[in-house]
Amino acid sequence: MNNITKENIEAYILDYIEGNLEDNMRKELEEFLNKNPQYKNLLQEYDPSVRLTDEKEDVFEGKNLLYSDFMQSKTNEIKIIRQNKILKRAIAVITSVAAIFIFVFIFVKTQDNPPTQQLTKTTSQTKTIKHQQTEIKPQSEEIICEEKEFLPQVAAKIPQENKTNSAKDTAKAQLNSNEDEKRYDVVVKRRRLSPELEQLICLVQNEWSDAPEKVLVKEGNILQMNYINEDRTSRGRIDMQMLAYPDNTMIRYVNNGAESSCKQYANPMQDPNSEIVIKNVTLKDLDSIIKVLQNRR
Amino acid sequence: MSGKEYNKCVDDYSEMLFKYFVKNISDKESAQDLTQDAFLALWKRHNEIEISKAKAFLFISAHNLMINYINYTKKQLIIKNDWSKKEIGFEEMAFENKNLVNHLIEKLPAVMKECIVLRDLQGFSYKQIAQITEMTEENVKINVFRARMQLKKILMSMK
Repeated sequence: MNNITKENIEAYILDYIEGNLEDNMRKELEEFLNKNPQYKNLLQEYDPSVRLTDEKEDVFEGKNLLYSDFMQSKTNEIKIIRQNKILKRAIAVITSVAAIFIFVFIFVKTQDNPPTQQLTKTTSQTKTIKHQQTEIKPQSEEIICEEKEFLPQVAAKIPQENKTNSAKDTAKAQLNSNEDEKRYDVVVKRRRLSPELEQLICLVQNEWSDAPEKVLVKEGNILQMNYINEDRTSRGRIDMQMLAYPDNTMIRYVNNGAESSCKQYANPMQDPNSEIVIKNVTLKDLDSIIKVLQNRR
Repeated sequence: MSGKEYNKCVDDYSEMLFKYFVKNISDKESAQDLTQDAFLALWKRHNEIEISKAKAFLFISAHNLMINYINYTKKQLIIKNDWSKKEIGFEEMAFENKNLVNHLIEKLPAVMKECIVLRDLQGFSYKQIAQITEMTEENVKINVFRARMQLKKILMSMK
């Protein structure tokens, strides 16, 4: 045993009282008690007669259930019970795993299916759209082709206001929806820089191609050109006004404020501006058509 | 250990083990079940265990079973604060101190109770108790000492 301390003194006193201490330990304990007399009380207070006694009331009634014969059967029962338990657990695990698998499968399917259905629907739609586009495309091509031929004829009919209004393109779509066919008739009105001026610019650039320096200023349907001669001795301004008629085009030149000449051109001006009527188009096609028309400039 | 030797263990130790449980958990039905469980544990390993070690094995199993039981039921096994003389009346006080001690043991902490039960009722040596309860021999002695001192104090206060 360890040395006697305040912590284990009770164990030594117990051994001392029960007579289990060897002589050397007895002496050691007595010395310790002399040095620490407060523990002598423990020696006096301890009463070995305070003991538990066997009570006849506590009779074990299940002894028959403990003998080997019964235990053998019981262990068999327990084995069966445990096997059943293991089986039940295994079944529970398998069913839960299967349930999770089915749930996940159904979940994934429900996640995938509607979109796939939608996709198939959309693909069918796109197919129809594509089909429509393939039907429409040649029409739109035709429209564009027609436009080239059609526009000059329309140009003559366009009122003068429309011809001189704006330098920017504006596209307006008037949609006459046909709900049943979901196709529309589109009227595109284009307003742009006066086409006569554009033609005039082309003509002037061609005629005055030798001019070293030209500055063209467009104001309405009047073209102003500032020029400097080759020898740089003189400079001036030529105003050119184009007068468009159905059969021909007249350009009036005003040189430094004084009318100098007037030229007549046989071909009428070609005006790309016009109303463009495109029939039987879908909404999607409309956007692309408008873009095509805008990009033509 | 053969089947016959096992049956001898049942004859010799079943009552002892039952009392050990009764004293410690104060519930005869549970004590009976736990006794069966302890012997079932012995039966399962009776081929490996020698008869000389059967008692120790039984009580070690019993100790573990009891700890599990206490943890499971979370039963309060220490001295009840609301203990009063109503529980043990004047007539009971007339019993001999020895009989009273058996009743008062319920007021002891679980560790002290187990040690003193193993010592007084089962007759284990301190070394064996230490082996069963997984304590040092010194601690077993201290617990037995303190258990007797507490029981004495309670007895003195009742007089």
